[in-house]
Amino acid sequence: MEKNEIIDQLKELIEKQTEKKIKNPDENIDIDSFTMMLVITFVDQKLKVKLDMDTLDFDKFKSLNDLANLILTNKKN
Amino acid sequence: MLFHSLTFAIFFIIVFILYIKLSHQLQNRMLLIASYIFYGAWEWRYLGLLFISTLTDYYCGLGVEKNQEKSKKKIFVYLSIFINLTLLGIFKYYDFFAENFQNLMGNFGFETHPYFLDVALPVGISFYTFQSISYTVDVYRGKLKACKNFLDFSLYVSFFPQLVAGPIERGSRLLPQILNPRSISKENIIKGCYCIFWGLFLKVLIADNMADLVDPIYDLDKSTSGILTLLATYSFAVQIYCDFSGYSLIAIGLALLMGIELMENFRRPYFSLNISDFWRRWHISLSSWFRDYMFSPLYIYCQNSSFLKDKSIQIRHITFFLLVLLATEFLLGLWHGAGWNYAFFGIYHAFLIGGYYLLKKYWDKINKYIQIFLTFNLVCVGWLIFRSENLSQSLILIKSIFTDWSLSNDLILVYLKQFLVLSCLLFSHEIVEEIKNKRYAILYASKYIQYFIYTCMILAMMLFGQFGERKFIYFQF
Repeated sequence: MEKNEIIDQLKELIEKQTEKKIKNPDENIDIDSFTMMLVITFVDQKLKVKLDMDTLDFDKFKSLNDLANLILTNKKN
Repeated sequence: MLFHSLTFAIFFIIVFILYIKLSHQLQNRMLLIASYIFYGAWEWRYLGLLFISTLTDYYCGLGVEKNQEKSKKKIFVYLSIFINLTLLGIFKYYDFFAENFQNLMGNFGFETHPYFLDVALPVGISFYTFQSISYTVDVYRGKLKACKNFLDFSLYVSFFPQLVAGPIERGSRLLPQILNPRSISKENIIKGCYCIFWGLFLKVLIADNMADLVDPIYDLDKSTSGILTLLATYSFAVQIYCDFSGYSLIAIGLALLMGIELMENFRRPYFSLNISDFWRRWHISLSSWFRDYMFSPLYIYCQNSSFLKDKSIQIRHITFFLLVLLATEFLLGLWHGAGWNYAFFGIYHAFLIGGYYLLKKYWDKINKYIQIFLTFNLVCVGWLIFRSENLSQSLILIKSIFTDWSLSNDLILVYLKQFLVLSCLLFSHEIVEEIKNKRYAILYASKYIQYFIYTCMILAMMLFGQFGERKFIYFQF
């Protein structure tokens, strides 16, 4: 799966949950714990990527770009 | 040694003069000695606990970094958690659980005689053990390198401005500031003095005078007028906020004078739009600690399990979120104290947060000011549970609020006047900061307005302030 495809899927999920528009992938998405956890479940079940809880850094949940990079890194591992 | 006492003022002036004169390395050594003197002044015998916690995490951090295998690294993380939580468990919770065990056995007809430690709670133990644990976990997560110098690491754990009641700092923020040379800037001195001054004002004028309204009602054995109970509960909401945020501000200010920036601990929590928002603004260092070191790992652990694997994303997410939230808030409640009212305080907030997310689409459509009003009142119910001696007192007080609205009590007017005056002092400042969305709002006003405000504050503190009489509420945790 390409990075852009991941970003599109995450954008749709987060916008639906927060009811806020995300204008660009580098924008600070400022999500709460509820949405953060929804992203984790989505990534596991839909994208089939398990995020490593030992190294998970919530500072990396700042923008769609950061999230996509995190997912791609975990996918490689 | 209370922040608002003459003893502390003298202590800090000596520390600050020495600090200015010394080189970076000697500054760190002097601050470490000062921190141990500060802590020893409370109870010198508990210095040993502080030392054990420091020693444990210093070696665990090194152990995590030295080992390449994940399983070996984990052993050091578990060791750190085990030793710190054992200290906390023995000194904070042992008697509570022993008493509950005795009562439980008594209910089944068995007479038991457990051993009670009956010792005073080591001040600040819940704060420094959490700070220590977070360091080792962060080294394991690769967020920071292990500190090689034991004395510098000891200062990270024991730095006196935030040692006994936070903010609970993270290694990735505080350690680099300890390890690298610091500069004392004019801007930091102005901000630092402002924080100390405003923190003192919150504590000695607002919090301690509000306490005079709270204690007589909450110390009663029987129920009283519902209006008085309601006023005392609102007063407690203001008291605990001013008391704790006052302490945090003084800590932030003292550290700033020495060129060290501590994290923000409160962001106008009573302007929260919902209960989840409240926890992002109240005791930020603790709520983010629980989010990063308990809630999230536990959620991911559940997520990676096979439990409910065949269910939809939404169902799995909501189920895990609510279960993990309940566990986290229960422990967050118990963190505050060894009592069922604290545990229930946590459970109550878990239900509020869970309820908010389930009804979010309806809640968010309500008028913003009504949201703030409702959130404040829901938080106040939590404060009533928190401040009560036990759960049965909570029930009596809640019942009195809803049943006894007699206006005949002469105290009501006295309470109302004092509550309104003190609340206005707090909220007039908070409203300006909230509207401008800026910290240190007074610092941005014109010089004349600033001088006028400072003069009024000094006069008010001199006339009505309570210096060195009441401890900070969070010292008991």
